[in-house]
Order: sequence, then C-alpha cells, then structure tokens
Amino acid sequence: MKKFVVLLIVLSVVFFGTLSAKNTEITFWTLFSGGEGHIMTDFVDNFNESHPDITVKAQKIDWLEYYNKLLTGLISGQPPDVAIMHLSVLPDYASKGVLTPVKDYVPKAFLDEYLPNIIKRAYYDDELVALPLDTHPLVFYYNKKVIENAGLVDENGNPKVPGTWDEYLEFGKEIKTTTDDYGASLDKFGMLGERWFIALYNQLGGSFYDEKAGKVIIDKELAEEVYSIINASYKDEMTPVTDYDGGEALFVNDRAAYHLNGVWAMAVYPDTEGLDFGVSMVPAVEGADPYTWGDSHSIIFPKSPNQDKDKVEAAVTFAKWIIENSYEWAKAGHLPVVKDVLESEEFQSLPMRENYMEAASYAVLAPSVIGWSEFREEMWELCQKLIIGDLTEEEAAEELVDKAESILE
Amino acid sequence: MIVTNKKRNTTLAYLFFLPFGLFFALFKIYPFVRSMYLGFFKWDVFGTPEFIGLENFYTLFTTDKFWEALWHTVYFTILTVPPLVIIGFLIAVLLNSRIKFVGFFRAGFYIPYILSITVISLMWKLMFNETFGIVNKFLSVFGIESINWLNDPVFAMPAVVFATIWWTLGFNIILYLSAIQQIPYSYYEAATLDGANSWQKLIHITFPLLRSTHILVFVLQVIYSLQIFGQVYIMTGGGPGGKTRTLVQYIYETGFKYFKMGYAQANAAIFFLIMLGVAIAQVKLMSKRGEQF
Repeated sequence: MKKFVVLLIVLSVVFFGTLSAKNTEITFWTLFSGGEGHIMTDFVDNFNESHPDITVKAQKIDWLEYYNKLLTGLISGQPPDVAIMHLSVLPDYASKGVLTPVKDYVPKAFLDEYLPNIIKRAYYDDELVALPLDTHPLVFYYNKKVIENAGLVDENGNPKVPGTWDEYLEFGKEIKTTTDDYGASLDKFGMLGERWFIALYNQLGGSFYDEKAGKVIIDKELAEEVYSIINASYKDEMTPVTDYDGGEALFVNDRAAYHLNGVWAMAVYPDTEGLDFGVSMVPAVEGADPYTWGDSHSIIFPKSPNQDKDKVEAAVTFAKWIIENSYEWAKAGHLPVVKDVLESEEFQSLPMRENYMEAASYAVLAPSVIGWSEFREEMWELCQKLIIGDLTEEEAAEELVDKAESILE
Repeated sequence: MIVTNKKRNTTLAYLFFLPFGLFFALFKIYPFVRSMYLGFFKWDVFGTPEFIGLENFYTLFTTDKFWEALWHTVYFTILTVPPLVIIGFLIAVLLNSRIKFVGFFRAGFYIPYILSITVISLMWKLMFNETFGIVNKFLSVFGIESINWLNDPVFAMPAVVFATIWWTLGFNIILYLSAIQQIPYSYYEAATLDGANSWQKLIHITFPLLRSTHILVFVLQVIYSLQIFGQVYIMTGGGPGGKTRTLVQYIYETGFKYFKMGYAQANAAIFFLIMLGVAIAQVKLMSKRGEQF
C-alpha cells in the first residue's frame, strides 16, 4: 500500500510536471495605449486562445517610462522575453549585446516578404536582432473646411493640396492672409527638427550614411537648404510654434489648414467629430521622389539569464503571428511592412489607406548608428533655435554637422 | 548599575534605529557614495566602468549646455523663491485673522499642493495654450495680444514659474500658519492696550518673531526650486531651443537617454555641492539664535 502511494505521487509529479513543461510562458512588454493598446491586448488574447502550448503574459508600460523600465530590466537581468522597440534606437541597445539574434529561428521565406528599406534596419553587425511589425511614416493631413474657407479650391471644387513644398508655402501663406487661420501646424520637437528634416534632406538627394567614410556625415549645403524651407514656413505667421498637442488641437479644431504628423493619427482623426480632413503623402521637392521619414515598431527578444531555446522559439512564434496578422494592427494607422499583408484585402479595405500606403516604400529610417537618441534631440533643439530666430540657417546647418561628428560613432 | 543601564539604553537606541538605518544605508548612503565614485568613470550602463579621472568634470565645465542648464535652474530659483516666501507669509497672516469662511480659504490654498505634478503641469499647459487657453482669453479682455506662452523664449520660464507658485504656495502657507499660531496671544493683547494697529502688530510682533520660520521656509524653498524638473519637462520639454532646460533635466537626459552614466554622475556631484552649500548656510543661519516666546 505504502509503495503504491509513493508510486502514485511519483507518477503524478511526472505527469503534471510534463504537462506544465509543455506550456511555455513568455512575458511581453508593450508601450501602447489607447486604440493601439486595445489592438495589442486583443492580439495577445487571441494568440493565447489559438496556441495552447504558449502563454503570453503582456504588461503595458507607459510610453514615457517605457525605455527606462526596459533599461532597468536589462541591467538587472530581468527583462521580458519579448518587447517592442523602435528601430531608430535599436543600435543603441544592439551594440550593448543585450538582444538575442533570431535569424536561425525565422524561415527565410518569411524574411523575404519584408519591404527591403525596413528589414535592412533590423540588422546590427549582420545579426538579425528584431522583427519589424510596421512602419509609421510622416504623412500630410489637410483640413478641408479651412482650405475651402480661404477659397483655395480647384476647378472641381476640391480643396487644393500642395504637391510641392513651393506650393505648400504659397497656399499656406494665402490661407494665413485671407483668413485668421494658420497655414500649417506641427509639433516643434521630433516632427520639426527630425522627421520633417529627414524627409526634406532625402528629397534633396542627401543621405546620412557615408559608405566611404563608414559613418554618418551631414552635408552642410543640403542641411542649409532644408532649414531654409522650414524657416520659410514659420515666416509671416504661417505656422505657429507649438508642441504636439497644441499643433493637433489647431488642426482638429479647424484653425490650421495643413498638418504634418505620423500615420498613427489615423487612429484618431477619422473618428474625431466635426473634422473633415484628407490625408496624402508629404509634398516633394520639385522633381524629387516623395521620400519621407519613417520609424518602425519592431519586436525584440532581450537576452536574459534564464532564457532557453524553448522561450526564444515561443517568443518568435508569437512575434511572427502578430506580424502575419498586422492588418489588424494597421487599423491604428500604421502601415504593414510585409508584402502579403500590404496586398491583403483586409488591409486594402481600410479607409483612406490608398492615399498614403505608398509612403511605406518611401520611408527613410534613421541610420543604424550608436548615439542617434542623443543626436536627434540635438536636431530638435537646433531647429527650434532656428525658428525662434536664435540661429540663422547657416549657423544651424554648421552646428548640425559638428554635432553629427562629435556624437555619432 | 547606572553604567549597565546606560549601556542597555544605548543598545536599545541602536536597535530602534536599526530598521530605519538599514534602509537609509541601503537606499540613500550606498547609492550616494557609489554615484560620487562613478563620476570619475566612463560608463554606458551595460559595460564595465572605465576610470578616466577628472575627464567628466573637464567636459562638463567646457560644455555650454551645462552652464545654460545651471543658469536656467538659478533663474527659476530667483523667480520663484521671493514670491513663494512673501506671498506665503502674507496669505498665512490673512488666514490667521478672523475672516468669514476661513476654513474654506485654508483648504482652497492647500488643495493645489496635493495634486500630482503631472496633473498641474498638463492643466496649466492647456491654460497657457496660445489659441485656446484661458490665460490669453482673459488677457484679451484687457486688450492684450495673444502670447505663445510656453513656446516663447522669453515667456516660457515665467509661465512655468507662475504654475509652480500656484501649485506649491499652500505648503509655505501651512508652515507659516502653524508658526504664527504659536505666538502667544498676550503679546497682541499688550500691543492693543498700547494702542498698536494691525499693521504695527504685523511689523513689530509677527514678522520678527517668525525669524527662524523665515529662514526655514526660505532655505527649503531654495532647495525645492533648485531641483526643478517635472513641471518644465511636461510643460515645455526644456524648449524652445533648450531655453528652459534645467540641471536635473540635463542629468536625466545624459544618464538615462544617452547612456552617459559617469558624465551624469559628475553632473550630479556638482549639483550636490551646490545643495550642500545651501544646507550649510541654513544650519549657520538657524543656529545663531532660537526664538523665545
């Protein structure tokens, strides 16, 4: 009898032991809230239901604190198994060797589906350290009411949308003079000094990475040209200096005609009551391709002391599943970055997407260099100094060249 | 017998101190010492710190951004301390007098202080908005043209100062109010018999008897103001063009955003020395003479 009981206990331990071992639990940190947050939560729930062998435990962290928490997690050896990271800051982390290379876990066919301009940035030192989920480029919003109010309509009665930056400045100034409204509005931090700058710089034929020198070099003449376009838009009160919320408030309350913002605003604007707007690619420099700035939410797999092959496999399975279903994610405005999803009916049937989906291929991501987090904030600040008249276009360009040299490795 | 008692008492005292002392050592003293130590290293958070001597300090002193941030911090302190001390004192005097609804007013002045920094910053950000904000709407009644408060290099800092005064005044009022209430009523009675009016009583009794409270409030206020970070960070982000970046923000950015931990620590060490100077001044001033009622 005693032997039997012991046997029973041993058996049950083995049985339940294997049962629980079969289920791999992985932790997942995200920085999404609002509409994006809901979609992500649904993703996790649906995945858990359809994958009984894997349990994803998601934790949402306020985006202002997100990278601080991630950093603390990485230092203390308790990072999540899966996390979100912007591709623009990837080199700052990948260079510290804290991300798991995942090339061996992902089929080649899956990687071939990616847009080349995006997947290129998921590599660091020839190691694949992230799987991009989306791209969120800078696009161009226009407020139909404000434009019509100013009488800026074409022969068909449609509000005029600028195709070039010259037209943008011309229309914008006309709107400011004929009405009391602003020609344009945009955030004075990232949108101005980094995103708009990158779009213009690339349209003018510039590129950040110098293959010969093997580092980032900013062309002073081009930077000055970029700054002259930006500066012109702040002349004659066409554009007010505002932060993100302020710029958005002017646009949705019919006080600004044009609005530079990321595609994520598509999660909000279509449902904003009373807002009659359109969206398009950003205008281009005369004769140039409509390059624009883009960043990408990618999925990373932090290294941790208790990481094993099963966990990485489960984590990659989860990441692949989200990416394959990213037409759901696209509802928040982001553009998918794998061809299958871009061409899928689910994605194509989303409203207004055909007006800006091309931006995914023209999106220019930040160069893969260490120090970008610091350099880009210098870009924001220099551009602010330019538009408040602290620096001339030439001085700002000069300083930018210097900063690139001293900060970027 | 007495000796053993004394001994036992000392042991007991240490035992009582232990729970607090342990946490204090672990979470305050150790990080502090380590922070000072790391100021002499180059460290990117992940790797091994590399000793570089005084290089961080050299870089610091030759960086414009540091001096600008230091000036903005001092500027904020100069703008906030006098009004917070003087207005705090005057309102405390008023709240101590027999006016109607005194409880309502006392609560009213204190309530902003219990709100979180994020709440008050976002609230004032909305109110200072150029186009939709209530501040410009109010000023337009007097024919004053719209000011782009938080995005203007001249007005950004005063706007943050105004919000800060509104937010933290309540704390100084409480300190003053409790001190005023400790002044014996007989002093005022005697003054009344001698024919002193309210103004004379304020100048000759209340004000001088609050000497140590003045010093306490002043020094605490200087220390709080020097640590300015949250309001500025949320309301202006340090902009426009870095015109409102303060020292703590600079430490935060270099350490946690750009991974230059050693450099940030060196920065913090300088900041600590400044604060230490203020604290020593306080001790010197307060120890001169206590007040006796």
